[in-house]
Amino acid sequence: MTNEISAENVIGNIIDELGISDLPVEVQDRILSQFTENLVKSIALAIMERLPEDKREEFEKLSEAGEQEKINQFLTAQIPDYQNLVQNEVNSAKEEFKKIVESLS
Amino acid sequence: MNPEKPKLSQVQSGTKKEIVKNPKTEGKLELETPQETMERLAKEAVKKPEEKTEGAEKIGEGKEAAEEKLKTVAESTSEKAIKYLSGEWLPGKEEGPEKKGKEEKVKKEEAESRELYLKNRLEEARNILAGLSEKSPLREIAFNKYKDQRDALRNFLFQNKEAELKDAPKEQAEVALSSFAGELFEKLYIEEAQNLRARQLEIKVEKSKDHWISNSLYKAIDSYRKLPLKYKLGMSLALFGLTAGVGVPAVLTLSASASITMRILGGMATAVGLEKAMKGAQEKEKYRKGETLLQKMWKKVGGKVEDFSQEGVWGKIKEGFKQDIEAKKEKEAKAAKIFEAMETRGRELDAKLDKLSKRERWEEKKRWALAGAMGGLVASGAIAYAFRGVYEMWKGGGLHAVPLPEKPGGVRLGIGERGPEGAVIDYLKSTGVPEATAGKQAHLMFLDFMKSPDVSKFMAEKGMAGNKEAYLELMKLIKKGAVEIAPDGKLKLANMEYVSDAFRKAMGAAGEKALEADNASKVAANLAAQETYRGAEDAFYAGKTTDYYKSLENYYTQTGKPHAAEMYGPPKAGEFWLNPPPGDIETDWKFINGLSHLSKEEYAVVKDLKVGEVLKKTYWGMTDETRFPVAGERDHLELWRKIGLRNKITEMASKLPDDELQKAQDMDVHDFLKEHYIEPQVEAVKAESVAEVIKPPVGAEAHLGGTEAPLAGAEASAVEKAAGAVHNKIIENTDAGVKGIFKYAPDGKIEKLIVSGGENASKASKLLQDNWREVLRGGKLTANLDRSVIESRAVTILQNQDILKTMEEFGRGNSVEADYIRQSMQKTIELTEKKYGDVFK
Repeated sequence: MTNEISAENVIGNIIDELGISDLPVEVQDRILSQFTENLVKSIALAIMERLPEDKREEFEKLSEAGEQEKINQFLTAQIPDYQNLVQNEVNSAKEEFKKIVESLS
Repeated sequence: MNPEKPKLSQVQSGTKKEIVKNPKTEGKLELETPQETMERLAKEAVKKPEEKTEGAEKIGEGKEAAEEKLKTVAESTSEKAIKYLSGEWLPGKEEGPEKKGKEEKVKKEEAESRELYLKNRLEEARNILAGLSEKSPLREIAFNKYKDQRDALRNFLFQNKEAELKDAPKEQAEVALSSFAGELFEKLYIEEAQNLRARQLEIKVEKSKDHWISNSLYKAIDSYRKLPLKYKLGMSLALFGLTAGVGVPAVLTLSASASITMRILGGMATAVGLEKAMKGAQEKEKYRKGETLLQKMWKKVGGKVEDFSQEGVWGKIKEGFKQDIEAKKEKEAKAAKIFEAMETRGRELDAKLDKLSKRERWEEKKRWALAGAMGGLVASGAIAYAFRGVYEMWKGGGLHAVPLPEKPGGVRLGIGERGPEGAVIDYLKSTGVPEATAGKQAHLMFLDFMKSPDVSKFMAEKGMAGNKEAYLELMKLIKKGAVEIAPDGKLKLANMEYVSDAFRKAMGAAGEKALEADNASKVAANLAAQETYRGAEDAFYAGKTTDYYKSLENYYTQTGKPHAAEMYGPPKAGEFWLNPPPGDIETDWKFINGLSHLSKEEYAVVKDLKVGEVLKKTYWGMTDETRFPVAGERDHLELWRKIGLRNKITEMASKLPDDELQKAQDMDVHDFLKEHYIEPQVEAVKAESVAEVIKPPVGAEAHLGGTEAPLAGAEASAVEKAAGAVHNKIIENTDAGVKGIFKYAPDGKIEKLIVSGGENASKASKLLQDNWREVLRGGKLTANLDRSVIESRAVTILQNQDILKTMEEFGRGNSVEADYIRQSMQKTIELTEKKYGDVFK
């Protein structure tokens, strides 16, 4: 129950931040899904670019195993300021979205 | 192991499915594309109230419904009355449903084709914009261009919708139009913003030049797209920090497998409740704090905050679109007027230029034209005037009208494989005399030459009589040397080396072998020269200037042509450029660059690829087979230009007959472009010039037979009189803008018909079966080229039909040319269907 309420909160905030709350629900779904796709790209790119080449194999093995804790530990050790990096990507994705939409309107 | 990678950018409008509730399936979630949504809304709008889909808004019942229905009927009746009064409609004059249906189908297909074209243009503009950095001075221009393309697509879709709704009751049409404006806003403003962002990220990946990164990312995106919606929402939540430490691992495991990612996200224990949470978030007012994009838009279009409503915004946006369209129409009308004024001014300037050109050296203009600067000149009319200038001089009478050497000593031409007469023909052509007349002119000069005392003496010495046969024999005996044109137009042979008498005498049995040996050594020498020429080309495209000139010098030595210094030195007053070599590398390059927009470096990596190989390349080609080779630092523009070149090659190849098409696929790009692009271009300019000079009216036979056949003395004067009216082409122009050029062999037979203009691929469907794509090779997977071939042939047949129709109208339906067209169309259909199946209607 707690999770559901939290999820609702978080989604509500994202929708509000992106400024799409008064669009039809199915359009919101689509926009959010596309927005996340772009976010996935930018986060993955930011991390992969910073990952030392000799650690790629280890990274691939961890990804295939899918152990999230180990992945987090690995990234924290290999990528300086890893947490902030992700947060920055999330923030700039939101800003970029609003900026581009406004310039196109 | 390395499948075609998914495209990272997202918009596939028209294919992306939206989730909607379908009343027919009792509220179950069904998939519907935006196109289907638009069509459904449009159908709803034009339905009578009682036909409205269950669940759709009903316009009242009982009295209200009856009143509404009466109003609808009254509006429809009054509209008909207005059309009747204005003469647009007559009772009983309705078109048959079959004809109407066909016309509508054609219109629909044309609209689809136009829409696709505009979408491609938008994608192209997006690609360019996304590739520019924020600081680039070009960014603003590219951004405006991008918005222009977006608006062009928007206006087209909007106007289509307006047209679709024109028979619907006004009020309902406006509601449907407002709703459609809303959809356009979502698609072309909000979703488009994401597409642009996606493209920017793609370019960043491309620039990294790291295949590990790009491959991992492609896999990740592919996996992401396969995730069910609830997991995508779960991913959003994870990234926005709902559960610490889940987001990034979820993202990164995507590059391994979607199922691992789903396991991680499932572990959040939120997936089940996500849709419910989403619904709650979307419906509850409490989350609405900031200004929404729609509210911003509302303010932008002048709405008051307190009056804000979604319907209101759509209505305002719709009005905004209408105003934009009107403004655009007004702008276009103004532009048309300006253009008209410019054209008038241009004609005045051309006339002045014509006068000036008589004082300038014509040859220089010709060189410009062949050097690829013809675009501007043709557009300005200068080329046509210049050609006309030559014609006027030539028409003035006989030999003295030939553009004569300005050099006191005359001009000396090396005799090559085409013999002395060939050398003179080539020289005349290089000075701008149309090909069709150069042969005759040269022949007349040689007839005159034969009468000279020197030649008579020479022939007498060789035991020949002074007749035509003896002259031809003489030409055969010439091994090498030069032919000079004196300032008075007289010819003279110089530095001649003749085939030895001994050899001539042996030309019986033993001579055959000697000739074979001679030919074999010629072939070997030619091959060696060609190899050297290829080397010069390679050096040129690699930017190795010294090597290029060195190879070119060697080539000239091998082929006995004047050397580069003579050929390419800066033009001096009173000097001619003699015999431009076949395939002047720099000239070819100007054509290629104009076509492909590739740099030399970029072109160098594709020019030796086989055409068949190039046709398989794709934008996202990730295997050796589908990936374009890289020039320098790979960027998307380079790739984009290569794709552009590929498309142009596809278009050219698709117009070839089957045997040539097969051959073309084995050719390398460079040879293909030379044969199928550069040479026809040069030919086209010459054809244009002939058309300008002669202008044969449609319906009048202007063809007088082959013009380069050897002429007897008596014929010569007749031809001389007819000079100017004789050529080996007929140009046909139709009202629909189709142009056909008949080309004739020296014996007067039609060699081929080249058609252009008037029709395009969007009209090909008129002739093709509805299911021709499925029919194509029994429905097996086919290459783009096959589809292009079918469309291109359908277009050619349409163009042929148009020319035939025009000929029939002008009473030439029984001419040889008309028969040629009929047979040619029949043959095209037979050969095409033999190879591809029953594709034509």
